[in-house]
Amino acid sequence: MGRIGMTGRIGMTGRIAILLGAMAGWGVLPRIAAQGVDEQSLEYQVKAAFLLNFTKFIEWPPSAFVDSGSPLAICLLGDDPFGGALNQMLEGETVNARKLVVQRLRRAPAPKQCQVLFIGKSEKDTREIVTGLGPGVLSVGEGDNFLQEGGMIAFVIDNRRVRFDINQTAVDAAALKMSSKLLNVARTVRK
Amino acid sequence: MRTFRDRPIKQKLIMTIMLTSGVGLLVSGAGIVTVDAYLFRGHLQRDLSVLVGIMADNSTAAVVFNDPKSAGETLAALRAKTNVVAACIYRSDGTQLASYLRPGAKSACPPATAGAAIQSTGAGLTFSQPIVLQERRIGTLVLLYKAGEVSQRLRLYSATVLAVLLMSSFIAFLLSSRLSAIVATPILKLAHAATSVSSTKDYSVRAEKMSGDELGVLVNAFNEMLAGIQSRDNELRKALLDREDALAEATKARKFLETTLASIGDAVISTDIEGRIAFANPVAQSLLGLKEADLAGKHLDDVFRIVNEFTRAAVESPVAKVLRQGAVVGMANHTILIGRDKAEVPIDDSGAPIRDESGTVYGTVLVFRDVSARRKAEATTRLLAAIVESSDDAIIGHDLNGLFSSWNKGAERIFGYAAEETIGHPTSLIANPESGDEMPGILARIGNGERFPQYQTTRRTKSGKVIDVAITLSPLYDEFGRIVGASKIARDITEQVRAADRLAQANAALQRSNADLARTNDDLERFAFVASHDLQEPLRMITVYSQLLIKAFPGQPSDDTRMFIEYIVGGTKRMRELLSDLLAYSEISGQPEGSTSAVDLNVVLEKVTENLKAYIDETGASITSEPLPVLKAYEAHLSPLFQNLIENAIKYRGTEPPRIHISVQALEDQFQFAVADNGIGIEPEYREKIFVPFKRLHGKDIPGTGIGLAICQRVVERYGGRIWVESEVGRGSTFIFTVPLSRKEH
Repeated sequence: MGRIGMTGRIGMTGRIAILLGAMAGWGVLPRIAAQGVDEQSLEYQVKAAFLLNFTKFIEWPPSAFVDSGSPLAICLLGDDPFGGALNQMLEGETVNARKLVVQRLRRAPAPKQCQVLFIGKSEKDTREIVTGLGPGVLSVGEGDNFLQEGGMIAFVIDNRRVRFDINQTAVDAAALKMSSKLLNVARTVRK
Repeated sequence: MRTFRDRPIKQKLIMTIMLTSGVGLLVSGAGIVTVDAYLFRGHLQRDLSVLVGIMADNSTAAVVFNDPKSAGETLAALRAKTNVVAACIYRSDGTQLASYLRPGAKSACPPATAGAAIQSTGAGLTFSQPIVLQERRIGTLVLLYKAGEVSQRLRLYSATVLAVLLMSSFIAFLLSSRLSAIVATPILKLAHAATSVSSTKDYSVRAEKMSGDELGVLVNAFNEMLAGIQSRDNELRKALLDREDALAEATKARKFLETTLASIGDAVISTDIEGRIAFANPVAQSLLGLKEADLAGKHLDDVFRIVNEFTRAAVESPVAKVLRQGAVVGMANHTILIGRDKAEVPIDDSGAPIRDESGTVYGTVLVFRDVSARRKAEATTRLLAAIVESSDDAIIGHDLNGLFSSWNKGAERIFGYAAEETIGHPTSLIANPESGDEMPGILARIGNGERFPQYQTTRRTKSGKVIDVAITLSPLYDEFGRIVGASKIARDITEQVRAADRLAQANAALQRSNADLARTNDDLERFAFVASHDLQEPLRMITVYSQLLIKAFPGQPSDDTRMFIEYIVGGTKRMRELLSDLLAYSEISGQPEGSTSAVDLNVVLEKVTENLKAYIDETGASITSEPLPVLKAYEAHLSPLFQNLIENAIKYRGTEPPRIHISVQALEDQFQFAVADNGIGIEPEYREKIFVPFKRLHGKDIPGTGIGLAICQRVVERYGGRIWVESEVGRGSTFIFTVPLSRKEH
């Protein structure tokens, strides 16, 4: 831990460390339920971390960005369930030399605007949104239905733990390369 | 236990080979095992490192998405590695995400470490690999590998090496046992040959050559050496025999020389170069007064001390001179050897260096002889020659042919011929032509051994004068006792012959006058006796009648008359005394009555002091005497002798009371008596005269007849003695007389 701290990114790593530690302690949903709002925010903190970590196991085609210097944008469509957690999480983070940024959207993004699109539960016509997305955008949503509506990764609560399912067909269709390691840790992978 | 050094070569070879091969195998085995262990460990580490790296990479998603199941599945793949006993994945905060434990394994995962590391612990090798995602460490994978495999492999290798070692040692032993014989057997044979040679001294033994290698060369060399030794041994034996012969010869020669040195009359001493005595023959030992044992090793100068006969200065020993000059040093004259007991022996000495074959001086020899006999002989010869030369007699040598062979100064003087004029000439040279030369005949008879008495003859001198000579002839002998000539002593008795004639005449005259004298003497003696005896009577008559005359004188005789008559009486009294003394004096010559007897002089002295008692008392004289001897004599002679001497001593006293001491000395053949006083002494010129009869020195001052000392002299002389006086005027006189012990009966 100390050694990581000494890398110069003490703020970020500190946060991840806290998050991971929370995840370890948190682990089981009944505890989350018992603790009300705090548990709610904890769940989304984990999901925020997952969002960040997805970017590390997925390879975007260059065409997905405006140019090589463009940041990797994680866009939130609809209500923001993370609060400030996501912003905090991504601050100063880079993936494959691209900065990570958070964008909150009211409507579907323009091409090359977002590389990850988290579609909150508030959005009704998920299928329409997903279908309207061009290639190069990873769609992440919640719930068992999200994949059926054409989403790529869906957070699920399994055995009181935050897990996720993957629709590999959709991923492939969006010209994204997903690491097998990610596939290994997914609860289910739809093909 | 025998050391390796002493073991037989065969064993040494076997042991060497086995040790070498064993050590080689051991070292190579150990090397192989070590290298294998090292390589195996390296491989193992590399393989495991790769494995751990892959697993760490594979578990990134599981770590990030907190998926223990997926992580556990990743770890479960380690089942295939039987030696992996445990593996764990830790999150970055150190909590464990997943673990794998081999069934039956007791070990648990060690905690995560900070970086990548391989640690060797008691449980085994621990691999610690960070799990990194996007350059960020997200966790750690730890793997524990059981070390058993390495040591198991090591044991297997060791067992293999040991087995190979045993096997190869056995084979090596078999091989070396056979092979060592190839090397050892020739050496053993060589050793056997050497032992045999050294024990039997038989140099004809040869070692058997079995190979052409170095051992073969050694055997050849050994055999050649033996041959060499054999020939040298033979030469040595021969040389030894020669040497023994030479030694025997040398011993013989030495014995010969020693005997020669021991038997020669000269003293021989040899020294070393330092001058220390190495040898001294018996003559040298006796001259030095030391035994050979005392001489050996001593320095010559310590025992051979010589001085010059005249200067008495120490003379350098010939040895020192020889050593200095390196040459023979001849005799030194007048050298005296001072022996141990300070006895001095005149010697002749000479020294010579002793050289070895190269001429180096390594000693000296000193030869000396006692020349005292020769010196004595020379002195005798010189004396004889001097006697002969200085003799007034002619001493002449003749050979048997009648020729003169020697001629002394006396002969020259008597006969007028010089020696060179006579030697070699016939005796007729000095013969008296009138009487002829009798010498040839006499010499011939002497040559025949006849003895010749002394005889008188005549000779003619060079001047033609005929002289009387007395001749004594004696034969001359050579060293073999043969008569080779005669010595003749001739004395010129011409004067003697004449003197003898004169003497005979004088003798006859003397005898005549002697007879006259004796007769006169007898007459005188008789006259003296008769006179002194017969004159007594008329004297007595004069005295008696003179006294009667006074008595018968009418009236009172005048003083003159009385005085005259007293003169007559005094004169006759004195006359009687003189006659009495004269009688006594003359009686000494005569024969007293009876014979001689043993007279104790102590008794005589006692009587004399008794006779003189009144006189002694009057003068206060003291008379002392040593114990006196007993003489065979007439007492009538000895009493007057002592009485006269003592009376004189008192009479001629000084101012002090007389002290008279009589002493006696027993000399060789006589007694010497001394009567010493402290009287007035006697002037030297009177010391003879006092013994003359009626000779008086003091006139009428001191009464006396002057016959006393004459009587004393007569007595002493009658007994063959002598009387004289020693005196110091004013201090006293000592009358000394002698009486011979063995005297003729008187």
